[in-house]
Amino acid sequence: MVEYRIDRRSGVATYLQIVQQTKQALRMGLLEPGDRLPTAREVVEATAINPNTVLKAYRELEREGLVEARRGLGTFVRTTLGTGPADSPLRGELADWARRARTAGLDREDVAALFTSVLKEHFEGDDA
Amino acid sequence: MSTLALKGTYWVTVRQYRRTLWLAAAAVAVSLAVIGGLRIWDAQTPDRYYEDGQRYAADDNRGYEALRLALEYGGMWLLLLPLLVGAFVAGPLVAREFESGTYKLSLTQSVSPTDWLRAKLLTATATALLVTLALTGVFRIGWSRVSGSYNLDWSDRGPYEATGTVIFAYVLAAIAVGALVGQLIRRTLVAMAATGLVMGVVLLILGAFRWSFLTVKTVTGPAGPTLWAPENALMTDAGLLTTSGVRFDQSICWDEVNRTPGLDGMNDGGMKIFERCLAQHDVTSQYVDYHPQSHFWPTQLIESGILLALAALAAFAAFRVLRARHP
Amino acid sequence: MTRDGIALKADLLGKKYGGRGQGWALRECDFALPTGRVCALVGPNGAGKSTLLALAAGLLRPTEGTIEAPDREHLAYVAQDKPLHPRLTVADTLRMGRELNPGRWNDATARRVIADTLDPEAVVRTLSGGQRTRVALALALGKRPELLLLDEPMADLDPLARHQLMGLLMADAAEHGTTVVMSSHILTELEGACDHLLLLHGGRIRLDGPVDELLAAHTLLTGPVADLAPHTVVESRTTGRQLTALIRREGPVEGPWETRDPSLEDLLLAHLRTTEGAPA
Repeated sequence: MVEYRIDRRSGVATYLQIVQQTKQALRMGLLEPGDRLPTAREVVEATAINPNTVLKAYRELEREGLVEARRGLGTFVRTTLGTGPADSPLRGELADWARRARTAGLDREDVAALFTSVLKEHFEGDDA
Repeated sequence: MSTLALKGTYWVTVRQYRRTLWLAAAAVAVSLAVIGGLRIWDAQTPDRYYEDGQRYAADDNRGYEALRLALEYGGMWLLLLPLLVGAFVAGPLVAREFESGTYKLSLTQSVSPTDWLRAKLLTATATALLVTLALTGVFRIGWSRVSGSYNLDWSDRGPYEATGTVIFAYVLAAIAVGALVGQLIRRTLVAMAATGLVMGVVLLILGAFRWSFLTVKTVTGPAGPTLWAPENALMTDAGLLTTSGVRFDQSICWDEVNRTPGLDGMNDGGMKIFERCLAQHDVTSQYVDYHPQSHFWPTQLIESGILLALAALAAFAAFRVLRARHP
Repeated sequence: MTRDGIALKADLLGKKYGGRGQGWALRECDFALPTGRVCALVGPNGAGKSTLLALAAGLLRPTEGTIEAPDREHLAYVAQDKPLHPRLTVADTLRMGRELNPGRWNDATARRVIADTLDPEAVVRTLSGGQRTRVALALALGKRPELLLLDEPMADLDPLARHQLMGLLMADAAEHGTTVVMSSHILTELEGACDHLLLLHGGRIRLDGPVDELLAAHTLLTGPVADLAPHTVVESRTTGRQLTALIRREGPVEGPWETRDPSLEDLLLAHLRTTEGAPA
């Protein structure tokens, strides 16, 4: 099960933080189809945020087809996201690439900048 | 002081004022111990007998003296009971809720303000009446031994209240007045003082007027020998009458005596002049006004009635004020 | 009771305290708070927050206008000074909640607020400010209210307890759909928890509405000095040739300005600063 961590000073809307952290958990394989998301009650008790914020985030995830609400039971994960589990071939290739970049003398910020620019080039116009 | 059977606001009230309730119980126990102890002490010395067979307490019976004294003061303390009860209701029971802000807690629960105040007042009333009953009972334990002795007549202040119904009526009036004053003056100490003052004034006023409720009985007789009222009567007035039956103001003759020159030189202090003056004014007989002991209960009931009316009025006003302020 | 969908409603509500030199504590307040909202009642000290809450709780009568709230069985109110009976123990205080709210009281809810932080046999008089707050909140939540009115609820709490109790409040709201109104002059304790805002200043309502709508309706912009019409300027400052302004948008913002969405704090501060000098 995921545990949300809300950063009030990040400037990112609270519901978006929940959406992003859920997606992250899906990408990392921490959440798999059939898993139940924490109830709004559980989330707000731990984070002291407004219940409607959680519901709004869950509605957004549902709209994107990632989760489904089952009446009286809770909200459940429907699909995996992106490349799947952490040990997928794509992740391996990326890890190889990162190792090569490091040997080539690039530091963390150089790599991040390079990655972001490639990301921007190939995913221009897509939603965040 | 079991709180097991109590519910709702009554449970809360009893729980809140537990200490006061224990204190009241302790006061009753102490008074019972004192009076009971004094009666036992008194019984250690056998009574003496007059020639006609009537008994009287021996002069060296210190226990009897102490009991008599305890009853004299005890009666006075009993008169303070309405003041104490009224002050408690006005202060700790009502005003303090407003002063400390706990009314905000009490009046936002599911019970209505009326239920809240009613529970407080009924709890106070039940307790106060029980305590009064117990204390008057204790008083009677002593009273049955010393009644009729000096300062302890049926009509004396203290015994009069303690042996009748009025003390209960005073307590009821004090509770109602306290409930009203406590709401009007939302300061604990000021409300206590004000209620004590009001009840003190009521006690004084009724004490001054209670023997005017019923018309007095009168005996008349020839001027000269002492004229006695019936046994156990409360004498209220005595004086002289003219032949036509009109009450004569003696000061007229005393003024005449005082105006006489050379009064200091007379060896009878002017009595001859006084008697001559009475004769001139046709004074031939005298009278005594009194309340017979049979007036005790009617007077008690009239006074109690006045107090209960006051209690009803104050209680009505107290609930009106509450409803006006807290819908 | 209030009409469907509205938990608290005020119509031209006004309150004037008696006594010499006392003016209007609240004037011409009009608002309707939908059920299920968590509403932040904010404003500087003396803005009328406590008066509004006491009126809603039925402890005061309005001088003019009306306020519609659930009856006393269905609302709970925690006053700013957290009044409790000083001689009762914590356990007795909770028992009082049960005795005075027959049929509504939920002991488990109340005990969850107390958690394991308090000795049930501790006498209320000996408790710290934060512990009193906990007991007062336990009484309020144990009653299972439809409307929960909290006057400066978190003022006496340390950050950890604040977070935990705010979490409990939100959990209660999530589970039972409780409408919550809480006042504060510390914004950080409310941001994130509240989805509705009532800004009071000088006894009048300056801002009222759902937080996200209010934020969406406003824009912070920086750029050259120019006429900002048709937008409503809430607050503007000029430094040399540069203008910084918070506006309530009327249509899209077109011009040479750099724009960004305001935070709740930006919004409140701007509104408070502009009403500072305004007649109350």
